[in-house]
Amino acid sequence: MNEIIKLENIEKVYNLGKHNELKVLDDINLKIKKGEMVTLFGPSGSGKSTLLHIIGCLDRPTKGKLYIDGEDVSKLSDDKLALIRRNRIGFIFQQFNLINIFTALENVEMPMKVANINKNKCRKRAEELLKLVNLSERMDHFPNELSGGEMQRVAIARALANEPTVILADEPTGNLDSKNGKEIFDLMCKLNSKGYTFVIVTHDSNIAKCVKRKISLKDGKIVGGN
Amino acid sequence: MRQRTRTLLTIIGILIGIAAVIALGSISEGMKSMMNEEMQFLGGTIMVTSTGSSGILMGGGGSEILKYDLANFEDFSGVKQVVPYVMKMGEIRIGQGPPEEIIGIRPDDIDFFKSRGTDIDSGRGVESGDTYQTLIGYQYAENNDLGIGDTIEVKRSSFEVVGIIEKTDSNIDNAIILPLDTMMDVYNMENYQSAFIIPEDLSRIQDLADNLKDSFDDFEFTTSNDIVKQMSRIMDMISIFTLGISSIAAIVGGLGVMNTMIMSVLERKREIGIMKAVGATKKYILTQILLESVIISFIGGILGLLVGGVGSYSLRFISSGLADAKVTINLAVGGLSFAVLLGFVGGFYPAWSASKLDPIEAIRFE
Repeated sequence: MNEIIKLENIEKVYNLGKHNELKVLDDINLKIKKGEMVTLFGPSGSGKSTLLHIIGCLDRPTKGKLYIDGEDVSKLSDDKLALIRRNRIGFIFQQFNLINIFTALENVEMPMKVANINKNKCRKRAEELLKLVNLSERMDHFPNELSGGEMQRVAIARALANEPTVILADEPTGNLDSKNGKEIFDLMCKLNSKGYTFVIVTHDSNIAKCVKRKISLKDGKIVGGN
Repeated sequence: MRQRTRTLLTIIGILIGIAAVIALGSISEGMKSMMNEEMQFLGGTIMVTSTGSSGILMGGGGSEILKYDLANFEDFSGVKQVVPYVMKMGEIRIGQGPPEEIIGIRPDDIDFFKSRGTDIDSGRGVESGDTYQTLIGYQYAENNDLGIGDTIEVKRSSFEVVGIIEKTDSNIDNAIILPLDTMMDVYNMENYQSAFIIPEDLSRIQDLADNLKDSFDDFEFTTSNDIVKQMSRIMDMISIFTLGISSIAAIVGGLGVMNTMIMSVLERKREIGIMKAVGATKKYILTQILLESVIISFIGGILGLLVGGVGSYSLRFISSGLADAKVTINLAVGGLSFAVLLGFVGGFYPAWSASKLDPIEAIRFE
């Protein structure tokens, strides 16, 4: 299987050179292959969210190299990184991060609109994706009319919009009760079985025990499961 | 809802600014075209008024020329023709617009007026030997429902309408032209009010005016060039004044746009962060916000154009054509472009700061 994500000696330091310098990630080496489902876990402050942001091109490493689909993206400009996020990364957040003034359907269309895909195509694909996450009946509802589990399913549909290389989930079940959490996790497993690659940051032991590859972080270092 | 109210207020702000630009600009344009009409009329002549009168631009009120002086002008070397006249305002009647102007000219001089764009629409001009005959302006005829052969009364004397002057869009439209001698009789006047002097050689008009000034201390001789200079000075002042006032109004509107867009960006910080996280580029965010700002201003501009246009039309209507206001294509296009420019300038800073938002931080923002 081919590697779609490769991290080489990634280091992240905040406030570099100042008295409050803080090293969050230290010498991270990691390879993720297509179709894998990987969890990152560790105590808070271990750097797992920062690592996810770096893999997702929301943040840049201070040192080291990040390859996505074999391309070194660690030195790209902000706009180039935006294009990588748009075309190759899908995000799922703990807070769902839907746009409140958009309906479920419009939220799923949004990444495609940003990519200048034509209106009809956007609509058609967004409808298909909402069907895939079992929300066909809720397409015209606004986020405040949806339950937490439903909002997270909209977010998953949105993450899939531009056929990403990898889907990054930051505590996707953290704001959900255990029943809804399980449904979301089952959905992610279903998508994984269809070939989507997932990297999930989680505290949820139910998820952690079901996933084969677990990577533990502590104080910015990988301490287990590489 | 709060956002909608704010947007509406912003549109009203731009509306007021652009309406001011259009209304004041149209007055300035109207005055220009009115002055141009006058200039055409005065071209190639020297105006004579007595020293101490209110001067040409104010209509020569209080000026007096004796018959004896007139003969002297006629004999002066280089003078081809002297055209004296008297002028009175009619009675002010409430609700009927400005009073008519009653102008007395020698019937023999009618060709002088005809050659300056005051042609006869129907009937004939006043002729040699006419006494109680009159020529009336187009608007005056229409307002009073007068035709050839009807009679009008001036100072308790009846005059027969023999001709109607074609529409000129100047004060002549509302005038009554009487034979000079009859008018002076009726009004009990001894002297002429002022006169036009036509030079033999048009290219030496300024020399003639200077010579006349040297020879006659009691009179002022103003060439059309002098008047052009005075008028353009006044026009410039009016233009600067109207442009200044309306620009201030419009810039205040532009600040309103900026304020609204800054607030709107702050409120949508999270949304913008999410869009950036899922891959919106700086350019995309910048374009979206700028577009919104320009659309708000454009709508304000269109409404301002309408309100300003209605305002300028009502001004003409209320003053019954005395004050002219013209909304030219240039003015309309200029006003709209200004609105769009305001939207662009006012929206640029908020759009630029939105485009630079750090997605991680913006998403954390609640």
